[in-house]
Amino acid sequence: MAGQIFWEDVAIGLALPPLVKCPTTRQLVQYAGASGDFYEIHYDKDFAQQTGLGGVIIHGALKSAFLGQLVTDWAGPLGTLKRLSCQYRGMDYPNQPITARGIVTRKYQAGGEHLVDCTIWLENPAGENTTPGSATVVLPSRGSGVK
Amino acid sequence: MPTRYGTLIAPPTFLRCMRAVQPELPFALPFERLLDGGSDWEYCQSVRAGDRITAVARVTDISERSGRIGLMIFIKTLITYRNQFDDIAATQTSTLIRY
Repeated sequence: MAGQIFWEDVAIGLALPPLVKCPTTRQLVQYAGASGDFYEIHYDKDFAQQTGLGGVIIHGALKSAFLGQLVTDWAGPLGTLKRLSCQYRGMDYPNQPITARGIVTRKYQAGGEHLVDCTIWLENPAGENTTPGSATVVLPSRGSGVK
Repeated sequence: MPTRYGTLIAPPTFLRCMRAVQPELPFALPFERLLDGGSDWEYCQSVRAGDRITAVARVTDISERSGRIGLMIFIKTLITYRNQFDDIAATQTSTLIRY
């Protein structure tokens, strides 16, 4: 299958293809509507600044969605995400590029599945890691007769 | 595009938008500000177009810490998402910070 990564192709230290996002304030409003999270720090600059923030910030859940896309894009249509975890340590702001990155940290078999653990994170334009996390995916194995 | 699931499946954090009812704490907290601290998802079953999902949220831990922004209360909530077959589709542990 073209574009599909297999467990055998993966080595510890392999970097996932980075995913660059540049959410706009419009997207934050859209995400507020989709998620029901209408906390004003995500769309009201005055309010955000009164709480000590530099401006409106990106919803944590939207940041985890970007990390989810990073991993599922890489795992391909035959990969399955088992676990996705991240911590919102630093603020991320709209209208600037943020980059989702990942590196393979472990490759193993368990319960008949071919598994890969990754360290994942978001990087702001200054190169700081604002959102450290980790993920586990099941990948297809060339030995298991994938159709 | 046809998938091995026979239909569309939801992106990983889609269930965050289910508007799970958050438990009310039986006491007031003297903090107005809040931050999302992070989330941990475990996936058991794919969520397919047409599934009926039930979300149940439970507070699992409350703790306090002091940091740069002063005293903070950490509230951990576990949300269990089940599908129409009563199978767990996913669980989500979220950490909310009140300060």
